[in-house]
Amino acid sequence: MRRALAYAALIALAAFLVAPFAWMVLVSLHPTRAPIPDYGELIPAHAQWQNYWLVLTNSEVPVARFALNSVFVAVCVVSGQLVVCSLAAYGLARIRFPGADAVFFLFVASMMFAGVVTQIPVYLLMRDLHWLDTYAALVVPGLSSAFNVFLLRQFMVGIPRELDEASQIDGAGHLRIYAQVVMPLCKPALATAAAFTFFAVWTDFFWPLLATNSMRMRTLEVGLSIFKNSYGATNWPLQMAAAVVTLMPMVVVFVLAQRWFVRGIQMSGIK
Amino acid sequence: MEATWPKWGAVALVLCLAGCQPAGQPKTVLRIAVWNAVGDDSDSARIEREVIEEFERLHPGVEVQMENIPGSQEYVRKLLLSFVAGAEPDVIRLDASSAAVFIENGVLRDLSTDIAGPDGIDLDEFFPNTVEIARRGDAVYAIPVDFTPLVVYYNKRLFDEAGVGYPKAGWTWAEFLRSAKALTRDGKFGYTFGNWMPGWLPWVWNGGGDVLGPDGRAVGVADSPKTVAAVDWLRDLIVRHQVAPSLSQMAAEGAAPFANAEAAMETSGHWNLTGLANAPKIKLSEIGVAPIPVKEPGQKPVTVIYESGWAIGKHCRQPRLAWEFVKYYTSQPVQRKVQSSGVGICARKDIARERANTNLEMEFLKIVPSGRMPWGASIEGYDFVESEGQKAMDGILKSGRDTRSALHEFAVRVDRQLGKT
Repeated sequence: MRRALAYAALIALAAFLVAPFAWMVLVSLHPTRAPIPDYGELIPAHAQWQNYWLVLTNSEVPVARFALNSVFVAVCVVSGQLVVCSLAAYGLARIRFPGADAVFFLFVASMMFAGVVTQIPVYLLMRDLHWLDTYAALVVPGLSSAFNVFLLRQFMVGIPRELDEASQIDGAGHLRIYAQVVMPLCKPALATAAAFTFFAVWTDFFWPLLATNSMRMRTLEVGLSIFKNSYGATNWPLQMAAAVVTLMPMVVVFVLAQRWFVRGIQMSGIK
Repeated sequence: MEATWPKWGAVALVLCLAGCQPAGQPKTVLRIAVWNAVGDDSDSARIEREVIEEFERLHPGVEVQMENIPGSQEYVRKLLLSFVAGAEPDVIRLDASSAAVFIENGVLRDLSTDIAGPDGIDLDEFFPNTVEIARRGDAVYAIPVDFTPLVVYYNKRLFDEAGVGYPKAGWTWAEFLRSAKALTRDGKFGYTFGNWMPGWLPWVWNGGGDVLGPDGRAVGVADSPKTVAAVDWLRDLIVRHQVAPSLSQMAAEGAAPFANAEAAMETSGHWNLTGLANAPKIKLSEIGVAPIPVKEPGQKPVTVIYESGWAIGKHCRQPRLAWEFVKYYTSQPVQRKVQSSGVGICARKDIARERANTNLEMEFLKIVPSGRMPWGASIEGYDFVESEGQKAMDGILKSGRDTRSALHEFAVRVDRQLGKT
């Protein structure tokens, strides 16, 4: 009985959380330019799947290009961060050097600054480098993350040092220990860092908006806003179709990386 | 285990660097910032594209790069930052609601020399209250393109069904309320009130109140007896007379009551017509517009003019080409084409009159002379006033806050923010 009640409550909660997404999909299947339907008319008589085709192939608002940009930027930033942050974390966790704690403290302290504080100086730097409206402006400023350095460093601290010492006896240098001993053991932390980074990059709006000007350089998040402006209140079905297109990769990544998220919250919260 | 991570890192870096290469552009690129649609399947997008292509054809070697910046606040923030960094577009679409931010910060080019030059523009061809928005003394910072006054839309069919006469010029709050009460029947409302400050402030003006005084101060104006009385009157449309759905009812419904013929009147601008043209439950022929009513009989009505025009950056690297674009875009033949989409009213008097071939358009033109510029055209940071004003109205409508104290607190916050204390 208790279990049944728990399931009923969970099903109700799940339905409550899924409802907006279901609404979004159903509205996206109404004829273009139809107003927001009443609840009674939410299920379309004839599903307009071509709305998705219309959104993806629009020549003026190239959603396919936005998607490609988002994927490219996300892949570069996620892979770049994993390399850069893990190297920094390795140095802080496995190499004893004077001031290591102070450096780590500075990393942690930098997490207290809101991202917007650094946006103007970074923007000016991008301008001076002539990187505005290029992939470099979208990728390079995101190649390091204090949070991921913190996360990976905490994980690496927990790996027995004897492994390093044994490797050193076998003649391994730091790069080999990093690549062949520590990194394979850090896979859970790396997966967590990758998942968090992917979500942050995929949903970032303001920086891609600042750093890019031309339509061909926009990412999906900014592109979707153009859709909002473009299609406006008069074309909800197309706008919802664009929202579904933007959301789908995140849903897929979340489903695949769900356990890493849970683990990440545990790691960053407990350690 | 192979050392795969460094390899992947190297691959990522190579990919990054490959993406760093700026696209080779042998042409002269004219960068133009806009916030409006260029990418939908509407007529306006198609017309805009054709007009730009024609400009490129007339100027061989020139490529126009339209930079669509979504969201009004983001538009201002991004452009201001790009002006500060010297990375701004050549031409920007200047919205009356945020014109002061750009004009007062001196980032725009004074166009008066271009206007008076041999390749100039006759400003008399434009509605004077649209030109005034970007004028400071002899300096003119933008050439107006299109605009709209805020008006009261009404559904003639619902008026006919309720046996209520259509609104007339010079109608009063009492007549409005009488009509709204008669129209509130069969589950439909007489009026729909959204807490959108640009939409309700003209009502306050017509009640003799305001949010800022001539010196830009809010205390003593936003909490004055006339403003308080006007806001109380608006509140009572929902709370006391129940002729408009509450904000929570509106949120729960989600759909637009006027477009769905569930409310007989609403306050909006000309842009509303493009949406209503596609609304299945109302026909364009059933729509009428009237001025926002006045509080007392015989009082002169007033409304707000929302306008947009073209401005050029003060340090524009190709001012001549930028001016040629502005002149081209605001010319009669191009505006005849651009304004055929019907989103706004053309700022050129000749085209606006040409297009006023229906009663509906004629009614809009009759209301134009009563339009005044929005506060955002003259007060830098007015977006704060609007966001705080909406919070104050939320408190009054949703939490039942006392109007006088809510508006006084709002006025104090505004003066503090605008440095008037």
